Amino acid sequence: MLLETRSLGKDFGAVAALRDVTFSLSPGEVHGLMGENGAGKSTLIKLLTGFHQPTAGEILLDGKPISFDSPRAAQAAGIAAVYQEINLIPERSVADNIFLGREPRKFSAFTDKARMLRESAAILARYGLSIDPRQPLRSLGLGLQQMVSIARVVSLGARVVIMDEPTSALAGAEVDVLYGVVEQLRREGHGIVYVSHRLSECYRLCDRLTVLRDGRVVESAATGDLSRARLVTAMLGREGAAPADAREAVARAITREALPALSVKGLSWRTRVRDVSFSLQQGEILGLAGLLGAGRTETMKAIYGAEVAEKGEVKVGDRRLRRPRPSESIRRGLAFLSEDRRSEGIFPRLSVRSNLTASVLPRISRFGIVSRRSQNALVAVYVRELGIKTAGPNALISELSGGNQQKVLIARALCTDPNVVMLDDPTRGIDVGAKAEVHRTIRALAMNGLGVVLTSSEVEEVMELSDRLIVLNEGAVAGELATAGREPDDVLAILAAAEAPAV
Amino acid sequence: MSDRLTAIAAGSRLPNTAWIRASSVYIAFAGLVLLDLIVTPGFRNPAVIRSLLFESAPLILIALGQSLAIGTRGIDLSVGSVMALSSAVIGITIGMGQGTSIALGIGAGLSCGIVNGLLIAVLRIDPLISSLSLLVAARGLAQALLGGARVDLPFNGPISWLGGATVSVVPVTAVIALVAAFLFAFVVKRTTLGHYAIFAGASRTAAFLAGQPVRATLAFVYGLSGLLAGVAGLFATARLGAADPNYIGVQFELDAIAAAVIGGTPLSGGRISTVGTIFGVLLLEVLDASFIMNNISSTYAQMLKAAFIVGALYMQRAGA
Amino acid sequence: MSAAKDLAPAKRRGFDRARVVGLIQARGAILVLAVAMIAAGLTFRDFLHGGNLADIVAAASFLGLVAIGQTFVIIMGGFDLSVGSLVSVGTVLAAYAAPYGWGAALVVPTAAGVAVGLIDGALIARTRMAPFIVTLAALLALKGAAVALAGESMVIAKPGFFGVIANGNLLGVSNLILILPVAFAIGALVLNRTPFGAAIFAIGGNEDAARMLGIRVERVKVMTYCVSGGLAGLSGALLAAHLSSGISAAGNGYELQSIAAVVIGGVLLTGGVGTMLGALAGVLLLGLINNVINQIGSLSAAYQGLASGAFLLLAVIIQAGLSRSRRS
Repeated sequence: MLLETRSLGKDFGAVAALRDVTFSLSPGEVHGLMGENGAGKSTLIKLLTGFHQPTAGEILLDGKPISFDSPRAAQAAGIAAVYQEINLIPERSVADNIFLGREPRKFSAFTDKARMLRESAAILARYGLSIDPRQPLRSLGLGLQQMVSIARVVSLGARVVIMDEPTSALAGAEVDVLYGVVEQLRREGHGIVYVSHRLSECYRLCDRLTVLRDGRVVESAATGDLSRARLVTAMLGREGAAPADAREAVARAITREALPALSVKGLSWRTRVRDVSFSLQQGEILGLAGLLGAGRTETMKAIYGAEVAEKGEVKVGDRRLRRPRPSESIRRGLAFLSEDRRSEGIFPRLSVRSNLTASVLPRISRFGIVSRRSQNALVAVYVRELGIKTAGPNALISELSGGNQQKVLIARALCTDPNVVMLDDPTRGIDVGAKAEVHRTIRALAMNGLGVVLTSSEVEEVMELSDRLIVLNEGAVAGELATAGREPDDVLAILAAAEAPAV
Repeated sequence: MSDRLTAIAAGSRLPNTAWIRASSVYIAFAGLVLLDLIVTPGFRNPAVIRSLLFESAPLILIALGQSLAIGTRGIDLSVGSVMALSSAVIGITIGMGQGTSIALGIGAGLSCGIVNGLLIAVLRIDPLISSLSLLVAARGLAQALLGGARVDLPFNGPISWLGGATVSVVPVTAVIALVAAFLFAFVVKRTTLGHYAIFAGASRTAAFLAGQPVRATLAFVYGLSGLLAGVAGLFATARLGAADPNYIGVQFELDAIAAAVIGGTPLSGGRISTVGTIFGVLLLEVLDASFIMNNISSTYAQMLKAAFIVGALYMQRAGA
Repeated sequence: MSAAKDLAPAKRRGFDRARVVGLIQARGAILVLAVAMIAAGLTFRDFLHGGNLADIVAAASFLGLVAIGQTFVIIMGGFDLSVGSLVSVGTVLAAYAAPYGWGAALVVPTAAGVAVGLIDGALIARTRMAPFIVTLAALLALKGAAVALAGESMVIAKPGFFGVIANGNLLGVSNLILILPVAFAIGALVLNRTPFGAAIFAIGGNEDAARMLGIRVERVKVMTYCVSGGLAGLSGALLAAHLSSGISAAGNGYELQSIAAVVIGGVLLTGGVGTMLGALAGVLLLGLINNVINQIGSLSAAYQGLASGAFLLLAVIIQAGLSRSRRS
């Protein structure tokens, strides 16, 4: 056994990020680690690579207990991670990057460039990569850059290589190259922890699969023994009790009018959004479902104009959004709430009033002067309607709880009097009570004739709220279903059946 | 998490330290003035106060512009050089009539500001780099226009008047500067443009996603900074009685930045304190005057002042 | 293995464009320098005369030394505004130390520069204060120090080697011209062939990654500012020898000129990119412009500032344009 964890646990204050995780890795084994956001994958990786120390359990290397007090210690012991973000220096050459920090010396003061090039070429060749080590790193595609990361890590003597979402930004031939590298690593006896949510990949590469959910191991088996359906169920799981707000089996008659509230055709953005099309009726709640990395956020941002789509057409009502830009979208009645409240939503340090009215300043000002009274009036209206708990409009947004902050952001979107509202994981990180209130708000919006597009990190939630679901898989539409009378299993079935889209 | 604990701790800690740090500039100013009244000979002399206020007027203007730029999480290093350019333009166009040359001088400042704004907003150049380049270019242009030499200005006319006129003990230029500060505070607190600047500094991404005109805001901010620098150049020139490219606006950048930051406009953006900036200016000017009047040679004075600024900025940093 | 080969043709298009852009950034200044030399040679009869060219190189050597240090600092991702006053202080310290021998006259100013660099670097690396604030404050503080130390202008005797450097002639040409090529060669060697240089590029290119890759970021930053300060002090010492005196305003403007020269030479102000050769070309270009301005009697020396400022602005705009086209 190369690497093992026994009942590993990690608490951050009162929050248990990881509990009783037992995991093992043999030399030459590729072990898939899977799970949704917040399942504990990154915490586990941080424990294995020495960024954090466990609060319970132990880590064993070669059968002997070991602890790392720093990332350097973990590296020295032979455990290294390769992440999605290329943590290398793009302007420097491949050889420079491989040897950065421990360049071979000549006359003890100068770098032995010849040896650097020789040894880099050797490593690259060993993995079947025909890369010229003199090239600057940035001239390589992202896929090859990632290979260089792996080459560096291996040349540093890593025996356990943890790969975090290695193919998330790769396309086509690059993915095959990665597979080749993984095979070579396996042949050389390295142990690989392969973190991914691309089911097809995991099934192809991995010998064993372990699924984390809510910090615990929920499944761990040889790949051959684990069906896709069981895997997806394990990842998405079922929550215990459904929220008190029972699902209103309201078979709402959504008339398919000729003019949809929102119409998206052939939307494409990089590799993350592939030819997505759908339409949304007024008064309809449309859910975007899919695993992490399926492209839900990216799709919404591309529609909104926060990212510039390369192809595709977006129409709000009968107006086509020509220049993709948030200000344009807002003007045409399309609003968007980001999932990342902290860095893309609130204005830290500013007041509730400022935060709430941030999108409508021109509408409440005359001759350029903002009307404080109008601002306060708006705040009062939404405090009442949405039940925002705050000391007053002057209160700092940072003083509000997550749930109330989210309500302020929803209010901000509503101030713009939109026809369509896109909410990206609106209930993330907020307590149960606030969650129920947000659900009520969303339903009320639809009742009032707004079109709502919605995602959630919990399949149950998105099913409960939505009238219809679009299932996304790796950026493409994998299926569509009306939610009336359906179970989350149906969604899981679509996901399980989805093939990796042809590139 | 330990959220609750942190919140409790913060709750008990926050009022005290934040209050002190927010008012630190006022406390420091009052303290220094008190010290000077006791220790420094001749400090009560109205002539001293008048002279101090004359020096403060241009600095107030550019410090205001600086606080706006810093409020958007940017910086404008070019202000001193733009002052020199404005001065130079006045110097060479004086023949066209004083009114015209004043307008042209201020216009030169505005133009620099607009160029800066375009570089930053349209070409997306980092404000530090853009304003640094303008710093070099503007002063170079100022030197070139005047041939590196000082051009004395006539003793009569509006410019000379600006250089000496006072309302009792307060110079007219200082009055204008204070009026400008009042207008500035109004713009920042009450107009959409001012709000957009603060939003851009608090979180540029959120501002973009909220549909705000971020780039136009930045262009305006730096344009205004240039305009204020142009007027400041006029004031400094009037006070000096001459257009001197080697003297006008030299080292004003650091003073302006220091005044803004010490006055409570953090470099991380999102908050602008107009009153604090003014007191920051006054604090620095009183510091200068204290050195002079206590016969501390200008060289040691400079070192002490630099050390003071670094120290004050470090403390602001540690808190902000 | 064939899969990897498949990738190469697909990348060809984008690859070439990025390469061209990179080439322009790195070598553009040399091209401009060559063109400028030809243009000047055609315009001014005496320009390409050996003596005049030697004058340009000699006059540029003091700025050149400072520019080497500035190149290191800017590639690392910061910049050093204190060098102007460090040169001034250097001249004054050299004048004081000259009576104790030429060794002292060279070492004392350099050591002072290193000491200042140490303080600058420590403040910047440890407290995370912005480089421009710290070095700007240092610039002003040292300006005062230079004046305080200097008192009056001081004339210095030129003992031994010092005199040889300052006013010696080798083959009828000032010894000073040796400084530039030698210094830049050493600078290039350190930048491109030592782990220290690699670390500087790494920190400038992606500081967080550099830290994660195990580079001692704080230590390298401090060392870089020491190098910059030391070179500025040394330049002051040599300048003092050349001028035969210590002058408190000797280094005025060196900080901006060195930044301008280096940026014109293709060193990106955003960090992580640059060559010594480009920096040298930038220094020589500025020197050439100054020489030309002097030749045109009607233009006063004041135009030198304008010329370097205009070139700097142009270089910054071009750099921004190139970076953007490369990104897209």
